[in-house]
Amino acid sequence: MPLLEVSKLSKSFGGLVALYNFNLAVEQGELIGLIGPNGAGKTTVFNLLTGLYPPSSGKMVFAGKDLRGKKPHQITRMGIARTFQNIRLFGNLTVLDNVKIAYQSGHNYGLIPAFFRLPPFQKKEKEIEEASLELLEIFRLRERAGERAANLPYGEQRRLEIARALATKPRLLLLDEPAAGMNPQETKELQSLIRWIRDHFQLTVILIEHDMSLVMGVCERVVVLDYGSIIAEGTPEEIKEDPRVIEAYLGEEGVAS
Amino acid sequence: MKEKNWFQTLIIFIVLFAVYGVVQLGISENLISDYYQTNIFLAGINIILAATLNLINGFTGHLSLGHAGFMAVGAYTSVVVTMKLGYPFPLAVLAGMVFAAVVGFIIGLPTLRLRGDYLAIATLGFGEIIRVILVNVEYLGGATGILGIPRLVNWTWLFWGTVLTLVLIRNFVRSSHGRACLAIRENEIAAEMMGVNSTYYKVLAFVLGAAGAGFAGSLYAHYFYVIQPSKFSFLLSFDILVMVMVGGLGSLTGSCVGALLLTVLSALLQNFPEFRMVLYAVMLIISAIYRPQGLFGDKEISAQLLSRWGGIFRATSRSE
Repeated sequence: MPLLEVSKLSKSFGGLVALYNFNLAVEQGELIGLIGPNGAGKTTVFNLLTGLYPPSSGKMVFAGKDLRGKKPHQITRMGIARTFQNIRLFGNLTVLDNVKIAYQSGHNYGLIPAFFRLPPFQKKEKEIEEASLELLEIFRLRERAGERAANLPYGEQRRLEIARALATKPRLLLLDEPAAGMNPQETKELQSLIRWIRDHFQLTVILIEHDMSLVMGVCERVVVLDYGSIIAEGTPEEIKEDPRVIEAYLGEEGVAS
Repeated sequence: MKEKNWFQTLIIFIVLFAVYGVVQLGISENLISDYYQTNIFLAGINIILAATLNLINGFTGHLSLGHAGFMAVGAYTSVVVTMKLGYPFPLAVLAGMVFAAVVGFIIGLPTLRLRGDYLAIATLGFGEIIRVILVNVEYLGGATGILGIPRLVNWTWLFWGTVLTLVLIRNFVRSSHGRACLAIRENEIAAEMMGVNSTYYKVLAFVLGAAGAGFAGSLYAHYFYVIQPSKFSFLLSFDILVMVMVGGLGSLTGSCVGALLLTVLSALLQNFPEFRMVLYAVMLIISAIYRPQGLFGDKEISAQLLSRWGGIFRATSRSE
């Protein structure tokens, strides 16, 4: 049984059809690229999967459970985490607190221990702090733990977003344009990082990206969206050759990469 | 590190007991006049109000203007419990807090779907509704309110009540629950995506804030002998908001300083009540232009910070 099964998913905003009959079956451990021109409906797929919008029609089943009607925080606890195209860190909080907030949802204590600093508070806080620092260590952000997230350089903010998403202990990670605004060197590092976290955390990853070198370099399967519908699906090599994709998206210059 | 923490706690306790003892001595030896006593009590109550409003406005980031309404609920409930039902004062305080929290829950659940200006207007409206209800309930004395309330609050109640409120709020804010509230303030969508149940935490902060206002209300009622609906109009909510804004959204130290500052100002301007509101408005405008984050921003004066300042001081004096 696939980890995520989406069938005939559609979403329209008034008269605008953002997504139409979207089908996707994702097996455990896959690394899938979701590409398409601007406005093709890629982020809409993520927003539907994470419960930000209710779908107009269609089914979404994750690990045997229906995702429809669930709130975002419930979906997060079921094991889907995401990053955002426009970075949405908790800017005025420290780097460490950003990760702690994501980690604590599964390791919380009651209100009474919090008010009176009872033993469960001490124990769990220590646990949350240690696990969060460990995660920051992996993402080479540990020295930054005490800094305000908004003060980090752009590339590190992107890394922190991924670290924070991983802190929720997901099985499926949705990355929305993680390489946006990165220079080629950073993108290359990101490529190996994505592979590494997939293997290390035994994740399934769906990646939205405009940077073709990243998509072609890291994804095993690519799905191409245009005007809300899937126009092609296959390995990066197949996608590169597909005339419909070239026409809709890659254009003349895209094939080169 | 552990030893140092104990040392800091000890110093804090010594300072607290010293402040408590000195004022207590002053009151019992009649060294502090009634005028100053009244203002000291007002300051304490204002600190509780500002700190609990900060929990909603500053830490969770949802602008509420109904704090006076919750204070009124606490005040009237506690007075009914002591005067009409004849139960002891601690029980009345508890009842005042619980009932204010319940009203907070009833108001918070629907209104917290709104944000920003809309939430402010909705809470302002609900605060006024509470006041209008009180004016029209004969049992609660209508517009004249309730007179002749026994003075059951003394300095001990007020001081330790204020300290307890501040400690509990600080503990809450620096726990996973407080972090969840801060996350909602920073970015509600991202907070939801990180597993924070934003509805729960928004309502929780609102309910806790309302309970705190209820606590302040019951202390107020049992110190000043009289409660009237007109006392709890939106002007009071506005006063509390100014304290929080001037002190700094998200800083408990700021709330204390803001509350003290405004208490002193309003005491000085007692003979010119019409100037008071003008001055508050001017203060708010000046602070919004020159220091929009408030005096303290979201910083706290903590023992750690003081020792760091001490370190800087030592370092500079050595280099001279």
